[in-house]
Amino acid sequence: MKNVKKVMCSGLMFTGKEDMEMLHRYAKEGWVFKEFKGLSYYMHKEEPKDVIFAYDLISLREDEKLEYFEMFEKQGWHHIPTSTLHEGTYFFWAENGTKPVHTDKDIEASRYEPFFKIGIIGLFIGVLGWLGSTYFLFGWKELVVSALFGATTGVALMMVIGSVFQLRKKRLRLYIRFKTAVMVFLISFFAYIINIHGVLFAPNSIVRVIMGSVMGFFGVIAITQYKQYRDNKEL
Amino acid sequence: MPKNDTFKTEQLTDSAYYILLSLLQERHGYAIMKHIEEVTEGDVVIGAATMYTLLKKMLKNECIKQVGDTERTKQYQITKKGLAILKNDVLRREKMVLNGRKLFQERGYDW
Repeated sequence: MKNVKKVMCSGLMFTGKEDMEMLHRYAKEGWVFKEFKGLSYYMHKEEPKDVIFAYDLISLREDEKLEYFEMFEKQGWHHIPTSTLHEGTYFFWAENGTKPVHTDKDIEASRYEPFFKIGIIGLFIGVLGWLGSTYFLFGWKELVVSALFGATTGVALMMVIGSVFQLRKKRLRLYIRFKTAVMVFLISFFAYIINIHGVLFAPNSIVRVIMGSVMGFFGVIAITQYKQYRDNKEL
Repeated sequence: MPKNDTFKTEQLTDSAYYILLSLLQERHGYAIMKHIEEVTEGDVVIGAATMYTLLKKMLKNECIKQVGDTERTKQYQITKKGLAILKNDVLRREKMVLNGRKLFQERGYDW
C-alpha cells in the first residue's frame, strides 16, 4: 500500500488547473495518477514520466462516448477510467507537449452551466430542509438533520458561486484559510449545541438560520481546504 | 451576447470558421483537426473537447451533416446552410482585413 499516494481533490471548479499541474509534478517524480476514487486522486509509484493531465466535465449519453473518447485518443489523450460515481467527469493523460483539450474559452466556460443549475436546486433543498427541520424537529434529532441540510446549503452555495465565476471565465479563489474555517465552524457549532433548548436565542429565530448556514458553509470550506493546508505543512 | 449563440447571430468564432472551411470536403473529426493545423501552419489548434462540442453544435444547427454510416468513425460535411453562413463570414473577415490595411496606409504606417 506504500506504493500508492492519495491526494484529495478540492473541487475541479476551484482548483482544476492547479490539480492538473500537481499531477504533472507528481508524475515527473514517479507518482503517476492512475485512479480517481471517492474525492481523491490515487497515484501509483512507477518510473518518472513526463506526462500531463487534463479533465473535462460533460454529460454524455452511452452512444456518444465512443466518438468522444476516440477524438481524445486520436489527439494523444488517453482516458483514465473512473467509477460510475463520477459520471460526467473524465480524466486524461498525454505526453508532455500534447495540445490542450480545450482551446475555446467560451466552450470551456459553458461546461459549468449544469453546475449552476444543480447549485440553485441544492440551495432550495438545503434551505427548505433546514427550515423544515428547525420547525418540526427538536433536540439532537434536529441538530443532526439540520446540520445535514446546512452542509447541503454550503455545498450548493459554493457550487453556485464557483460556477458563476467560471461562466464569466474567472475563477473563485478561496482565501479562507483552513484554520480560520475550522475555528468559525467550531464556534458556530458549539453555539448551536448550547442553544439546543433556546438558551441563547429563540429556537426558531433567524439567528439560528444564519448559524446553521455559517456552520454548513465553513464546515465544507474547512474540508476542502484541508488538502492545501496539509500540503503546505509538508513543504 | 454569449458566443454560444454564434450560429444564430451567424458570426463565427475562429474555431467554428476553420471547422466549416475544413468540411467543404467530407472528413472525420480527427482529420479536421489535422487539416486545420496544416492549413494554418500551426496557428490554429482545436482541442479535442472543443472539437467534439462544436461538431455537436453545428450538427444541431444544421450547418454540417453526417455522411456515411460507419459504426466507428463518423464523417462530416458542410450543408447548404453552413455554406451560406461560412461564405458570409469569409466576406466579413475579408472586409475587416481590407479596412485594417486601408487605415494603416492612410495613417502612413508601413504595410
